[in-house]
Amino acid sequence: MDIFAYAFMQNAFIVGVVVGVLCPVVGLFITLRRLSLVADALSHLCLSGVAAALLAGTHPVITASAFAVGGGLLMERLRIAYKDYAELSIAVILSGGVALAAVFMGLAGGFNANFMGYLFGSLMVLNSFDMWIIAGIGIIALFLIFLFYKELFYTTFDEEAAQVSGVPVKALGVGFMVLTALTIAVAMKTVGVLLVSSLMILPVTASLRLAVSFRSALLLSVLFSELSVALGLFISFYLNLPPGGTIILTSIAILITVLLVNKKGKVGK
Amino acid sequence: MSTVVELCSVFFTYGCHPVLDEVNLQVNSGDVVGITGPNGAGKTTILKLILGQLQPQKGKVNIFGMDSMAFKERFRLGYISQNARFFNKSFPATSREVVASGRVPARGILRRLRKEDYKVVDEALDTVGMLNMSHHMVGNMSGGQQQKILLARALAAKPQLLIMDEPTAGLDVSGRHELYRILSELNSEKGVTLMLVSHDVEEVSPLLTKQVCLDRKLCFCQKKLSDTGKQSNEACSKRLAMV
Repeated sequence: MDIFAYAFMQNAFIVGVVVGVLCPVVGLFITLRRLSLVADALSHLCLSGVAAALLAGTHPVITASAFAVGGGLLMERLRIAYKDYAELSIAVILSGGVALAAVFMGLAGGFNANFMGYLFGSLMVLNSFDMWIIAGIGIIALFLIFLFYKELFYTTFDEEAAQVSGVPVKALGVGFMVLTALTIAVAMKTVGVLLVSSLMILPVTASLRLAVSFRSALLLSVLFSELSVALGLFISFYLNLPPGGTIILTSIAILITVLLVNKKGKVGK
Repeated sequence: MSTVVELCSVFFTYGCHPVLDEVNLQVNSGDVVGITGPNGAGKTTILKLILGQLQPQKGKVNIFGMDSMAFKERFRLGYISQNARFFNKSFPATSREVVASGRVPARGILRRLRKEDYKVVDEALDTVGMLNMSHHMVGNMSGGQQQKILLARALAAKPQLLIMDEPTAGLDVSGRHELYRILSELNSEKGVTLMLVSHDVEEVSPLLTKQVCLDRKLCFCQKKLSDTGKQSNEACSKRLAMV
């Protein structure tokens, strides 16, 4: 059985390559800013976006992107308003996302197979139109990160110095939140809303153990992520397993391997 | 001799607690100014006003002849905050990567760093004696080495004015002397104007051309070559008591 004989698998691999680069790149900055849970909160808001799309008949990825971007902007406002309690903004958006999803699903008459596909990821829900939207948004997001790479690095390492140096720190924070929201929205079809944040954090966690520079942390994160996506898709196809769960379990296996190989890791030294 | 920093009748208050009241200060090109004073005297506030991070309720703050809030030529300014040394020690970055971020104001937003930028980065690392550790992870270095890397980052923009808030906090005696030696060379050989904030400028006193004591009001203790730091500090304290 040739895996690439199926159009949906071809689409899955193309989307997987884009998501496999985008998730860890955004995830590295999020992790180093100590905002790992932001991805979780925004993914729950994507869930409400998907529920709203299924209710209103709009495109789920586009609607989820709009919800996530709106939530990301609100979270940034809350983070500034409660500067010393940054985690409050995460709790508010996370619970708000789940609550909205529950209400929309109630109005739509409960869960259906399509919604479950978004929850845990399903290759069957990927069509060519989705692929182009996801690849398009993903490539634009990657280009923006490439464009603002040095400013993002500076702000992540030392926000105060970056601000004094003339970097528009607040605008960059808002822009980055929007990018994070879009990343989650485009990745949710591959690994599912509930697991998308893992693909942003797990490869980064493994890379931090081995990295000898920021550049190497970035490259290793992408390598581990792509490896998880490719292996996960192959395994899920041939063993008929859900792709999202398989990709994340592969990522966890890579992390465990790295931890076993490198017992004297750099993190937490 | 051109004026680098000028504060005219500056008043600043956090809520109903005035921190600075009618403060006037002029820093000229090539000066080494030490600002000292007790906790809560307004030392960091005065720096934040100069850096354009705070706006005075009354008075004017100019830097290189421009209003500090509207000042755009950020590459002329180097700053090391007192919190800079508390960066995430697990951050995966080499000292060269950290120092390269100091080129951001010189190169400008959205422009990628070029070969000549990295040449300046290596020069800055060389100035602080850390070129041989340019590929070491900054989080694994000692406190003194990290402070030198932060100094190199500030120097990477080739600033005309360098502002340091508690630059020697957490450093041992040899670390402090090494830092003062580098600062002295920067001032005498490259003409960089220095502003140092410290609880106690006694040790740095030989470097200073002007010592300022601050406790809401401001008192100048014009440094004489014969003064020791102790004499200078005592003189400042007496003058402050009279304000």
